[in-house]
Amino acid sequence: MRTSFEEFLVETLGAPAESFPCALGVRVRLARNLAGMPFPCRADAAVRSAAAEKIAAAAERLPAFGDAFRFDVPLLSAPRRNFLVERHFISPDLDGAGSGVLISRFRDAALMFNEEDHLRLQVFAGGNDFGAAWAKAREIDRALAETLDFAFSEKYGFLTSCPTNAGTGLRISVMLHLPGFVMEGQMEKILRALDAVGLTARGCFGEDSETRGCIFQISNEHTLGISEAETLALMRRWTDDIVEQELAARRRIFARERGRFADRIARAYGTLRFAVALSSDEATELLSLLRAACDANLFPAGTRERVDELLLETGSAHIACRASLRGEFCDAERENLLRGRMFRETLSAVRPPRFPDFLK
Amino acid sequence: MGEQYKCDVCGAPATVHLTQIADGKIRKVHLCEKCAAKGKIAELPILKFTEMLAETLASGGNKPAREQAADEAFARAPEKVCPDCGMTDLAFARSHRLGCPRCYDVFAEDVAALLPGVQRGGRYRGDAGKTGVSAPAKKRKPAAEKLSLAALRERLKTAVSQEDYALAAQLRDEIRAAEKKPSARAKKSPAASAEKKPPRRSRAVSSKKSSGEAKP
Repeated sequence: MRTSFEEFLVETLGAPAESFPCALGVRVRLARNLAGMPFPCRADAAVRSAAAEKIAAAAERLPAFGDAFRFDVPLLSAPRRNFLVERHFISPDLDGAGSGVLISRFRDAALMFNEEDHLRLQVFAGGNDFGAAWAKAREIDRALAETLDFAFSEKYGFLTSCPTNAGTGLRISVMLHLPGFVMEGQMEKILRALDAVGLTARGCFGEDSETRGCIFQISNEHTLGISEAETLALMRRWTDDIVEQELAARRRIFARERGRFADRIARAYGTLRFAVALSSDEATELLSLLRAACDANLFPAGTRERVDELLLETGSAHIACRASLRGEFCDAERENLLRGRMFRETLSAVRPPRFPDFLK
Repeated sequence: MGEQYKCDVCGAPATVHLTQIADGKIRKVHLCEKCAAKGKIAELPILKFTEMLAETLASGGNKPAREQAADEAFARAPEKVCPDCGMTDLAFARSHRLGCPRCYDVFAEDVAALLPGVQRGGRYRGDAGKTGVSAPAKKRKPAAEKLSLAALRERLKTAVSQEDYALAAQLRDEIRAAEKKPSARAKKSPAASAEKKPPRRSRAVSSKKSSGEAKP
């Protein structure tokens, strides 16, 4: 069990992953509690710590968590905690005695101790690969169930602190980039349609978070009265549907407003490539345009991987942690300058977009 | 689907659902016809309406039914307390969090009241067994005695009302098979035709035959 945050930073930063059009990644989350003890909200520090140790001991033995990192979250500095939040390894609410996280070596699985429930397992996969994430989550869940006794009842399934999670305890979510819908003003209609089939859309960081850069997190709403297999099928079917419609919306926009759209992309590239200071919000909005341009093959292959990397690393905590690794000073003023520098460095290897038809 | 949104202002069943994206955030408002009409929703831009709503709530006007119930709850002593963790029905009304596995039994009524607005159904339909490890789909043990058609239909009605849709599907198939036989009655009984149709799902979902509830 590794505990060095520096080591974790070095392995995590600048490690680009495969990227796909429209879908930025899938997350499968399972919520479980140990039987025979109160849930975190009614458990004292001793019980919470005991629960965490029991779960950690079981998880450490699994191949999925071989050579994993473990962090005691309340002991982390604010930038480091926020770094984990920005990477979706932990939620902003993770706090209190016994709270912590276990992150697998290749960062495809993370296990939170004592958030709302004793155990919250998250498995990540790229694009819209629900199958891979679900298979891995199920494998880990089964293995843990062999040594741990989960609170479970025949009527309510897996018992969670909040009844909105009881049952399967399963939340499948996918991050989708939907600039087409946003530009056509269709987003509210889509949200209503999703609502009607038991899906919900939120900003990147869950409830009450912001929807910058046209990035939305779609997930299932229900965990009772629906099976795991049905949840998976629901997410697959509607994600495919949404992606198809989104790409159609983009084609319409390209066809209708070609010159204006090309101009916006070119300016986005120019700003990100040369600006001296960039705010996180501005960077995210401009990256959104670049990502759409990548999907339209206006940039060479491999560019979208860099765009996704930048989308992750544009957060304040990322800038701060990078600076600390390099031994540099970073405060609110310096942050935008450091961000600007990071973008200039990364995009210097990306040539400007090519618009063959438009230049005629 | 089993969900029923309640009006954010007065708690009546909501028929108007507004979703807006403003300032980078997603906001949802649910209203009944009356409250929507009061706000003259068609005339006001949506943002203004949510501000009006906030004002109404702040002035202590028509409070959402849930808030009202919580207020009343504060004014009295807890009626139910979980012996394992000390959670009270008041605390649950306020936070919608339970304190331990036993709370699901102690506050069964409160949980059941909460579920319709937030879940698709009232029962677990996954494939995990008692240990929480998913087991291969098990066939339910066939009934020892052959039940009459009327008895089967009664059982079906009970199963549906208990939201045990797996059992209901099994009974429905048994009824159909029995009806195909020449000795079966030609007309369907009112009970069977009045049944609520369970949501469509794969037949591979097993019904759990466990030796009892999990330990608290």
